[in-house]
Amino acid sequence: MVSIAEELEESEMLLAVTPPEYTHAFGISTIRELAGHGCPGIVVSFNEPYAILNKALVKEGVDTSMIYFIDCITAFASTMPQEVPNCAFVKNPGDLTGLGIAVAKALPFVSGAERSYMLVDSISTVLVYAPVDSVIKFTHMLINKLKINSICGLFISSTNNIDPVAASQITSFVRKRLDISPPEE
Amino acid sequence: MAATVGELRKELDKKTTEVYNLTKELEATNEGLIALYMELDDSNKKLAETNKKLKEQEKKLITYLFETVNKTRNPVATISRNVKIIEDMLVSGDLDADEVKLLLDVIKTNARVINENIVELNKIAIEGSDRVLDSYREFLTGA
Repeated sequence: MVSIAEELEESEMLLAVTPPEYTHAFGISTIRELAGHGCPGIVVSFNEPYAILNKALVKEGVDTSMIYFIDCITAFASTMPQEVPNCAFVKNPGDLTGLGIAVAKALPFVSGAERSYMLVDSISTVLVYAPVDSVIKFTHMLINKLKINSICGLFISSTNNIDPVAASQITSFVRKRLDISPPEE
Repeated sequence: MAATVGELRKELDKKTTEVYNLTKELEATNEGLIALYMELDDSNKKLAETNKKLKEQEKKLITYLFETVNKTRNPVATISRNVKIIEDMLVSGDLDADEVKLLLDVIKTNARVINENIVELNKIAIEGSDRVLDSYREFLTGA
């Protein structure tokens, strides 16, 4: 099985393409692995509410105080939740400006760490809510911001859920594309 | 016996007339050819224009199909993913009623987004077309 920590150490910016049914498990196992290496991280979620993701991670033994969450779905699908110290809620998953502000707010959380990361779950979902050109520009800007702050980036996308033109452009921004398969049972 | 000057002049006039006629014929042929070339050039320009339009339409169609996949397949994948989370976490007893409701809200939102995106995509597809009947238009773009 691929070690994402090693891949990130080597390539710094990764696009991980996973089958949709494996994306959740891949995200959880990746965060667990990175937390196991003592890396603080920022997790941007467009699919899973913070409350669910946090619970799933705690169940996997992850110390979630090492993670700053940016939840782009809860406030959009439900009501704006109460404030959580290590989570920012973005009102709408298509609000890339709001997301940019949340990212700027999250960066100090990982600054000073020897190694840190940002995981975005997932690029393919953002395309549902925002025009493809805006998503490409935003991803480019985000990757540059991460590079400047020496933060590794892992961008998840579901297999066949991102068009080939957008996929090739986003692939050109990262150092490596990983095609992830679920582990055999 | 050598031809007389008169005979030679007559022969020369005849040849001169022949050359003149041939020159006229050649000029007419050239004019015809030029007209033909101009016609070909026009046809070529029209073909290039049609080709350009077809390529633009093909590009628009591909972009439209890409958008359709981006905006409909993704929320369906998200719905499947969240249904699986509910299934797994309910089986392991990790979800309370509020969390189930939250995940169901996300699923309902994704279903709503699919509907909105299809309406939006249909609007783009029939934009500028006068061939779509009003009743069809209402069916395709009604939320």
